[in-house]
Amino acid sequence: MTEIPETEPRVTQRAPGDILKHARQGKNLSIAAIATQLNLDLRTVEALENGDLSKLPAPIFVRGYLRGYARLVDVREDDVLAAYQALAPQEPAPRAVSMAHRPMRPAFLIPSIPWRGLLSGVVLIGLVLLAMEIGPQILDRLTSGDTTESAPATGLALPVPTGEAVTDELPQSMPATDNLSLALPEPTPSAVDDLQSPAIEEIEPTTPSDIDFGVPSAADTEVVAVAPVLPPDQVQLDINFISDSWVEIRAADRSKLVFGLLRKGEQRSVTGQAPISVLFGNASAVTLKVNGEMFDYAQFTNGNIARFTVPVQP
Amino acid sequence: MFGFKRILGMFSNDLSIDLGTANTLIYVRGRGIVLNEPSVVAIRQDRGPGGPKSIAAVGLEAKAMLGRTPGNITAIRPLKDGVIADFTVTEKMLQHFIHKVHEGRVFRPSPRVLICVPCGSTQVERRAIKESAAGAGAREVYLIEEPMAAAIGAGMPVDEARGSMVLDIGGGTSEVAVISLNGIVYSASVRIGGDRFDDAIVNYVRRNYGTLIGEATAERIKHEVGSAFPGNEVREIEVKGRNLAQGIPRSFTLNSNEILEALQEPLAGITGAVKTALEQTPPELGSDVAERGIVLTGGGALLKDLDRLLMEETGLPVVVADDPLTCVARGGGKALEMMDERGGEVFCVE
Repeated sequence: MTEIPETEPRVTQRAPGDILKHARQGKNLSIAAIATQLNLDLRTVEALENGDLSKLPAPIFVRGYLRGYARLVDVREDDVLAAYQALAPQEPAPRAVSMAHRPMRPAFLIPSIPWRGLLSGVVLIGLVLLAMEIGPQILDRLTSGDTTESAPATGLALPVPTGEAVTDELPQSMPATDNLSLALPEPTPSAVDDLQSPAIEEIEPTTPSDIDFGVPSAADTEVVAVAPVLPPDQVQLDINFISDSWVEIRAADRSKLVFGLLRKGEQRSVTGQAPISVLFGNASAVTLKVNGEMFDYAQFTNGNIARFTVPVQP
Repeated sequence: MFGFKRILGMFSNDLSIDLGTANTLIYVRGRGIVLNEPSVVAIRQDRGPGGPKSIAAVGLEAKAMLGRTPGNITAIRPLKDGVIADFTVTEKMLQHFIHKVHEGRVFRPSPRVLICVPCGSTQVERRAIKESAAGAGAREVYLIEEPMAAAIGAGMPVDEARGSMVLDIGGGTSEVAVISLNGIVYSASVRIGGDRFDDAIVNYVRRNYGTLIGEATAERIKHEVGSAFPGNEVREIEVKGRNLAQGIPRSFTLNSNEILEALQEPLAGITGAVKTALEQTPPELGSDVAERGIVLTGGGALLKDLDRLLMEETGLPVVVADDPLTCVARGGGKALEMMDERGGEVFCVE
C-alpha cells in the first residue's frame, strides 16, 4: 500500500488492476462492495486487481468487468482498457468500424488452394489465347518489316547444303549403328569446316552490305506498313463506330476476330485470313475500311443488319 | 451454368450480411466491415398508381427521406421484426449493397453469402431471405442464427463446454440465447427492439405533451437522452413536434427521466425474456452464466445503462461487447472462416 504514491505518476504504465485498486482505496470502498455492485465473485475482483489472467474468463468478459469497475470508481474506462490492452497484447483491440483495412490473409493459408490454382490457370489460358490472337500479327510484322532480322537468317540459310550433309548423315547413322564410327568423324569435320569457314566468310561480307541496305528499307517499310505488307490471303479491316453496334467478324477458319457489343467512338482494326465474314447489328452506325479503302456494304444491308463477306463473293 | 458462376465467384469476396430491421451491415472477409447502412429503400412510382416503379435511393440516402417524401416516392423499410416484409424490395436492396461492396469490379459479383436470421424466424421467413439473397446474385447462401453470430463476433468462447449467454438487441427483435459447444442450447426471440423504443417514445410524447413527433426524431431522442436506468445526471433535449390541439409545430424540452419512463414497457419485455431464458437454462450452464455473466450485443446495447438495469434485474454480471453494433456481422465473417477451416457448415441452419 505504501508504494502507491510512488507509482502514481506512471499512470500509463500501471496495470489496470493497480489503477482500479488505487481509485477504490481513494473512495474507501472494499473489494466486497465492488463485488456486490458488479455481481461478481470476490475472487474475480481480486484477480482483476492482481492482474491474474489465469483466473479470469475470456477477454470480452474481463473488458466488461473492467469497464463496470472503472465506472464505479470514477476512472476513465479508456485508461483502464488501454492498460489491459498493454497487459494482454495478444488480444487485438476491436475498433469502432473494425479492421476495415486489415491486410488480406496470405492466399496460401486459405485452404481453398485449388481455387487459386484454377484462377491462375484461367489467367494462363487467357494469356495463351491473347498470344494466339496477337502472335500472328507480330509474326507478320517481323517477317515483313524487318529485313535486318532476315539478313542473318539468309546468311545462315546459305550453308544449308552443308547442313543437309549433316542431316543426311544422321538418318544413316541412326539405323545403322555400326556406321556410326565411320559416319560421325566424316561429316563432323566437314560440317564444322563448312559452318565455320564459309558461314563466317559469308556473314562477314554480307552483314555490312545488309545493314547498309536494311536501315533505309526498314524506314521505307514503316511508312507503307499499313497496306502492302499483308500477304495476299490476309485482309485488314478498320472499323469505326459512330454509335453502339453488335459486331461479329470471323476469319475463313470461323475463328472470331471481333465478337461483341462495341460502343460509340470505339475503333477496331483486325487482320485475318480471307474470306472474312462480317455482321454488323447496327449497320448505319459503322464505317468500314478494307485494306485502307472505304467499303460500302449498303447492298448487303437488310433492315439495318449487314451480313457479308470480304472480299465480296458472288 | 454452375461452372460459370463458380468462376465468377473467384472474382467476388465472401460476405457476411447482418440483414437487420434497422441497419444492414456487410463484413467482407479479409477487409472487415465495409458497409453499414440503414435498411431503407425509397421507391419512386411515376405516372400515378399502377405506374412503373423504380428505386430512387437505398440506405443512408433513403433514410433521410423517411417521412419526408412527396407523393410519388415512398421510403419503406422492407424488413419488419427481423424478417422480410417486402420480398422484391429486400432483393433490390441486397443487390444494391452487394454491388456497392464490389464497386469497380469488371465481373458481375457472385459472392458466397452468409446471412444472419433471427432464431425465432419460421422456415418460410428463412426461405424468403435465402431466395432474396440468391436473387441478388449470391452464389451460395448460408444462414446462421443471429445470437450465434453475435456471440462469435463478441469473442465469446462458444466452442467451450461452458454456457455463455448472449442478448442481442436489434432494431426489430431481441434474441437471447445460451450457447455451449458451438451450439444453441436455448434461444428465444422477442419482437422488441430499437423500433419499439422509438414507438414508445412517440406514444409517450403524444400522451403527455399532446404533440406528435416522427420516428426519426424519436430515434434522435433515444440516442441523445435515452437511458434504461436512473442515473445521477439528468440530460435534456429540445424537440420540435406538431401540437395536436393547435395543429402547429411547437418546441418543447424532454429530459432523460421522462424517456426512461417512456421506455419502461419495452425494457420490461426484454428483461422478462432474459429471466425466462435463465429459468429455462439447464442448471449446469446456468451456473456458468451466473459466474461469468451475460453479454450484450446489437445496437440496443448502446442504450445508456442497459447493462445496469439487467444487472439489477437478474443479479448477474452483465457486460457490453466491444463495438456491439457490428458484432453480428463480424461473427458471421468469423463463422465463414471457421467453415472454410473446418469444412462443412458448422453453424449453419436450414
